[in-house]
Amino acid sequence: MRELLGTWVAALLTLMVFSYLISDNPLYRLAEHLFIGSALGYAIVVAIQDVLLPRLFTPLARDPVAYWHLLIPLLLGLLLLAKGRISTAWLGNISVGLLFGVGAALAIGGALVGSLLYQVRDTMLPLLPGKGDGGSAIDNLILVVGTLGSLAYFYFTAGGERETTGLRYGALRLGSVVGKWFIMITLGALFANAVIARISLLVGRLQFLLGDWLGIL
Amino acid sequence: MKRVLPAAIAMAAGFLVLVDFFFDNFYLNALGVTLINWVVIIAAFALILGFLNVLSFHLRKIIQRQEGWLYSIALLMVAGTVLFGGLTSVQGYRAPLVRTVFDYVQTPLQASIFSLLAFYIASAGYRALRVRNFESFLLVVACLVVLVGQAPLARYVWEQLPALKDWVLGVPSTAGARGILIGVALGSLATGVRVLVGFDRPYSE
Amino acid sequence: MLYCPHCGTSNREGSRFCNNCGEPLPPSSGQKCSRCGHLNPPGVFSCVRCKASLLAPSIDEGLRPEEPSEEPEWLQGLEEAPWEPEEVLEGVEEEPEWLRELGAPADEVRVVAEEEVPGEEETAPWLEALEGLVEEIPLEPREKEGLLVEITGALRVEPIFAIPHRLGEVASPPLAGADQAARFEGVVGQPLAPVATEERARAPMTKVISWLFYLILAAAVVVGILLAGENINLPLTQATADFYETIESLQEGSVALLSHDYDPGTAAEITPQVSAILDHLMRRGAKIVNLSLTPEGQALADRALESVVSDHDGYIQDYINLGYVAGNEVGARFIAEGLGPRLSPYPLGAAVRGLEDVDLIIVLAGSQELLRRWVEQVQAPYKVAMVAGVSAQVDPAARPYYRSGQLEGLLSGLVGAAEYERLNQHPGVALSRMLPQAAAHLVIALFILLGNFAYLVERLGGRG
Repeated sequence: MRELLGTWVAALLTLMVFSYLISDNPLYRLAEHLFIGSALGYAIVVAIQDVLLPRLFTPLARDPVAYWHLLIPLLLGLLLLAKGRISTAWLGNISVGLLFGVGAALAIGGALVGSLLYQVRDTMLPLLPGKGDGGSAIDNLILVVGTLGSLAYFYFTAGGERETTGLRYGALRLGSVVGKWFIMITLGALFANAVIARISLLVGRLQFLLGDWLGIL
Repeated sequence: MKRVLPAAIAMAAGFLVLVDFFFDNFYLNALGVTLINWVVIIAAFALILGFLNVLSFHLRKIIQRQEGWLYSIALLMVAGTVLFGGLTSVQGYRAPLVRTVFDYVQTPLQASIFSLLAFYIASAGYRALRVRNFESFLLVVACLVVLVGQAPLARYVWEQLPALKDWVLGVPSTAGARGILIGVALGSLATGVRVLVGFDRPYSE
Repeated sequence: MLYCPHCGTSNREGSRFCNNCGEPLPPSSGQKCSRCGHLNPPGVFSCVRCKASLLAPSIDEGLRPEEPSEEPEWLQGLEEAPWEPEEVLEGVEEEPEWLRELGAPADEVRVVAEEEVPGEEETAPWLEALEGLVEEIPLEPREKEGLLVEITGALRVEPIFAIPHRLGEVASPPLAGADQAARFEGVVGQPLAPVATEERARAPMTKVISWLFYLILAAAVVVGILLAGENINLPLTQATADFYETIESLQEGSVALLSHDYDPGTAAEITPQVSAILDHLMRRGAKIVNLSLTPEGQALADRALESVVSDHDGYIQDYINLGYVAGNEVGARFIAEGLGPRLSPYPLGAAVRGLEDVDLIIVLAGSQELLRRWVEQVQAPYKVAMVAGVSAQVDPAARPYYRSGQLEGLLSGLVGAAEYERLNQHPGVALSRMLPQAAAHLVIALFILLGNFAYLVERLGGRG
């Protein structure tokens, strides 16, 4: 019974959303607000149940002496809520400062170790003699040229290059032209994949309507 | 005080975590883990702050009878239902009421709203992806190869199409994506360093 | 709607003082930039001239100008004027100019840009790319776009885990949330209807043509669904095969950690992947630790686990769902450092004392940011084997990591899930959806060809 009713509700909500294709209308607006409300409420429940209770309140309640240090994040968390009012907002900045500091540190470390190091190394290795693995030498060459080209393109168009003549300028200019080609190919692939992703969602919805709801399948 | 304290905390915590990221020291590691534990908790509070912001916005809208205030009532009712169901039950988000709303309201709504884009992309494909010059030619061709090549049945279009699709995604597209990724990583690095040395103080007024 | 330049609160049109903080409001309906004084049109979230955020300056003043590359193009879409070149800062960290260079954005083009849900870095570039190529994009009413934008904003109220639209937020978690919440308020608060009516009135014909496209697409999918079967010619891609092999090579009793970093918006692609992966892991007798960096992820994980486990009577139920972890990259780091203590109360804790006991991490990512977080914060520093199942739209952006070997395998969207079901020899929902999927791909490819044909005819006609 619950499932049958639920399926009908879900189907009607789906149709309310799709009604937007014809034109904007109050039903769509309503559906949208219902979604936002549900998502908000859900996120709060999850945050309380999976983070605040097990990591903060339960330990504090069970053994406040052993977990005294949790009073600090509790205080900082409450200070953060002070941001809600303009007069007390500066108090929240202390907590925000901590979040920023830790976030920035991890972003630096991650970008350096996780992305730059591997990506640069993987671009340079194929050029070294005897290091070509996976894929042909031509593919490796294309990868290197494409990566350097797109970087040249960023650098060049970002105004990193001040000179307008000379060998350096010429090389960058050429690199940026070639780099743009590669970026366009990437953008084409991104568009195609965005299409693919959205179609999968659409197929899922229509299969739900035809199968679970109408029972045609 | 109002300016210095947040900055001092940001820099001190940041440097500590950064050093912990690169060096293996027992005490440093313990400190770093503690800080990270705190940040996860504060992050959950930040979520609540965001919720309170939205709540006050909609309450004000309802009280002032602003346009669309009826929708705000609907929004708050659903949010209230989920919160009530989740916070009054020991099962939390696994409580039947919350599960029901999640499965039969939130999930179909979010999936449907996201799937609407399929229609707009289809019509954008007709109107937007046009070959005007060599660059747009590359974009359109790459798009078609991936779109058709990734489709099951692509072999019926052309036997080699799936292989060509894999090559486009794996070599030239990866080269461009790698250029973008390196650029993004350099950007993260620069922004992070500016925050850590206090050049940027996004947390401070 | 009138935004207070001091605290960002929205006030009724015509108000002279802010409801919230009492500060005087700017005379016109625009918003004055607190940084450069430029008067911006209403509905803009960052200054058209200097790019400073117009939202709650008390919270994020001073953050914007040095933003690194991945700018919120979808937000730019909302802005009314193009960038001014002299404001461009030096170096990598700025807005990628190539995006801008692709052409002066036409008003209509923005409409398309706004259609896209924000949040995924990769959507932005291609949309921007479209801008240059577009001639006339029809009138999909703006509001909807705004609304969609809105919705992601709302979803991501949790500041820290919010999918950042800008790279700066990688370093600025809490801000993202406050920022998004305010943006959310702003957009929902906008009286958007007038714009749409105007557009609709302008060209009823184009609207009808759009409906025709929608109808054809829907028909193709419906017919595909009705005719669908599991026997479909599906070429296997190397990335999927690598993924499968990685799991196939796990010994019995190995530990796999699954991070369910997606939500119902991409579940249609990723849930079938999860089912196929869990199916395989349980056949291999692996111990499975589940968790998620998105609040909805743990719920979707629960449901997938329930349904797959019921198919595996022989599997000793060696799995656990640890639920949601807040905090973005901090959350990923937190898991890496604190997995042991987290698991110690459970039976699995005896086998898994920390990340060093995990044999494989499987990231299921609905967005590029979430994937990058795992690779940067966990895979590289801790040298753990990692594979990823991603929404198709993340695929091109994930390729560099696959190529460099940081990801040992990559599943792309629903197609990847179907390939996996084929490898498992256990057909499921993904395979049953391949025919409608293929039909829709072909229909859209035809739309693109048709568009180019029309364009060609038009140009030839123009010359003659």
